[in-house]
Amino acid sequence: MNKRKVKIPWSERAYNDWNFGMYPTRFEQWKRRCLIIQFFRFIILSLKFKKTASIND
Amino acid sequence: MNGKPKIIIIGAGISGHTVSLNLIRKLKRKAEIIVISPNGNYQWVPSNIWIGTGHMKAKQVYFPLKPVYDKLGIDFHQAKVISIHPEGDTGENNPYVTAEYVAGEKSGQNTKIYYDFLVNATGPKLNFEAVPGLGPDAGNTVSICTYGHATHAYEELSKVIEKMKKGQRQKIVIGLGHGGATCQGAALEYTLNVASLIKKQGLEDMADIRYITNEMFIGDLGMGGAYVKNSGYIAHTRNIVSSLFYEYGVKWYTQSSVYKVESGKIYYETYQGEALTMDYDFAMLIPPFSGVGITGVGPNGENYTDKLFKPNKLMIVDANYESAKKPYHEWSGEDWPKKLQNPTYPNIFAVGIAFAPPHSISKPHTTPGGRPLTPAPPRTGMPSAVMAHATALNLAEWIKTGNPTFKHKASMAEIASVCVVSIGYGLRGVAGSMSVFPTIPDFKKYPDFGRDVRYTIGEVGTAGHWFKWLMHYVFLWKAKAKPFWWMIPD
Ligand SMILES: Cc1cc2nc3c(=O)[nH]c(=O)nc-3n(C[C@H](O)[C@H](O)[C@H](O)COP(=O)(O)OP(=O)(O)OC[C@H]3O[C@@H](n4cnc5c(N)ncnc54)[C@H](O)[C@@H]3O)c2cc1C
Repeated sequence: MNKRKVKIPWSERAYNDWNFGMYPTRFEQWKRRCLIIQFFRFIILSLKFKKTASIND
Repeated sequence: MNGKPKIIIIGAGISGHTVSLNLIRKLKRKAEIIVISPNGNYQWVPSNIWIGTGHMKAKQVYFPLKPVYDKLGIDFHQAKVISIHPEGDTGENNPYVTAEYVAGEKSGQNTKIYYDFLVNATGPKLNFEAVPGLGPDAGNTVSICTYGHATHAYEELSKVIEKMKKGQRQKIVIGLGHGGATCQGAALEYTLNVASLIKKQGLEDMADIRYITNEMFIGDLGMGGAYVKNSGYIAHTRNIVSSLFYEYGVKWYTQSSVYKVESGKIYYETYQGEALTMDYDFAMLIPPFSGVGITGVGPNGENYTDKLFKPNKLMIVDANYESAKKPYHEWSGEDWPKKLQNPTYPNIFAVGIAFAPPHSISKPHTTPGGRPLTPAPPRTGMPSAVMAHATALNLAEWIKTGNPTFKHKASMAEIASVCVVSIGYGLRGVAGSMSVFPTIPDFKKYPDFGRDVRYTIGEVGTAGHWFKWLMHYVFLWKAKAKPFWWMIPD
């Protein structure tokens, strides 16, 4: 099983990869999937989207 | 106008159907609403992604339109519009369209339908022919642009997954099949869904997943990228998309203009002018879009197509098309159409993908070989529906009061958009969610980031996935005009 965080091997990235990005920490990954946290995020996101969509009324 | 005004809506996709539903709600019996569309079904296109990964069946994303239109008192013709005669025939001055029935007893027969107002909502022609070897019919690649295409895509994907299970490493390429193609969001979403499916099955070491795109940088999304409020930062979409690709093990190839596809090989030219090839076992490439090719005809049979359509066959509206000649940094929201009205024929409108935008949103580029590297501007579901809703309200008011007031905002430069890129499926799926305002960046009003960061946000998490999942059911409810459908936002 592949345990690497960055799946593209270093030998491929070493010379020509300038596509630097961010990698989520384990905590961030857990937060993104924690059902309780996400339930609250769902409510917040829905309210935020509602506020954004109301611009179009 | 004799008797009730007749309004023809050409197309019953996201934008056309939104126009029809809102017109009938506002005008009730005060106008005759006629819808002409060759597809007898309404499809919720965003969920095609989940058909392409086997999470949904085609029948979950579409339903027949006729019963809905019969219930509402809308006259539905399952036909394909061929020509618009904006001045009617000589001496008559009674505009009409011609259409060919594609189903039922009248299949193959032509008809002539008169109108007082016309709304063109035909969406895109999937122009696979622009790239030799592209597409599921005559070519070598699959597509997810229709539910039929997406069903076929999943069949092909299943074959490579089976091979991976048998220990054969497979090359999967997803992206944009032409330097001028749009719909980066859908290509990105499909890439992440396929990667997530493969990861879930423990096959990630057996797959080489690549995203090939005409974007100059990842996260451009055909809208010049966006700065969004995210975890205490105003972060660029480039960071968010690249982080998702890193996480799911997707390699990305930007600045690539695909020009030919053979079985197992994609040919592309880069911004630097290198002519390269990429091998694949499974490839889903989004085709370039054009208008559907309806012609314009004058009263004596003259060719009026150029009064109605641009050379890309998209409809001319009140955009400032001259603005395309200005330097990129001077392009602004002011260039975009406000009424979506044809300047020659004020009773003709175009909404959704059917209208010709003044220029791209992303900075245009070409390769040294002269191939485009300019994503066309996306007109995704939400702006398409908002434009359609505003146009319906403007038209309804025009008919009710006799005066065109155009009170309702139909410009993409004045409206907000929400876009959710799902990853995976079900309760534990994830998504990248984003909202932007205005949809077209305006660096005069918002000199720092081009958009209002109070409304321009992005986050990754399961919450967004639930939102997208909910949207599937809520928007199908709305499209079926079930009770209180009109309370659901666009
Ligand atoms: C795979 C995929 C995923 C997507 N995901 C999202 C998403 O998550 N969120 C989002 O906001 N957007 C998404 N989009 C974009 C969204 O689907 C489009 O923006 C939207 O469908 C455009 O609506 P439209 O009404 O302009 O065109 P369409 O929905 O294509 O409708 C066009 C209609 O015109 C009809 N028509 C065509 N030719 C004729 C003719 N000659 N005469 C009469 N009728 C004709 C067609 O049958 C159809 O009914 C996605 C697109 C794809 C392909």
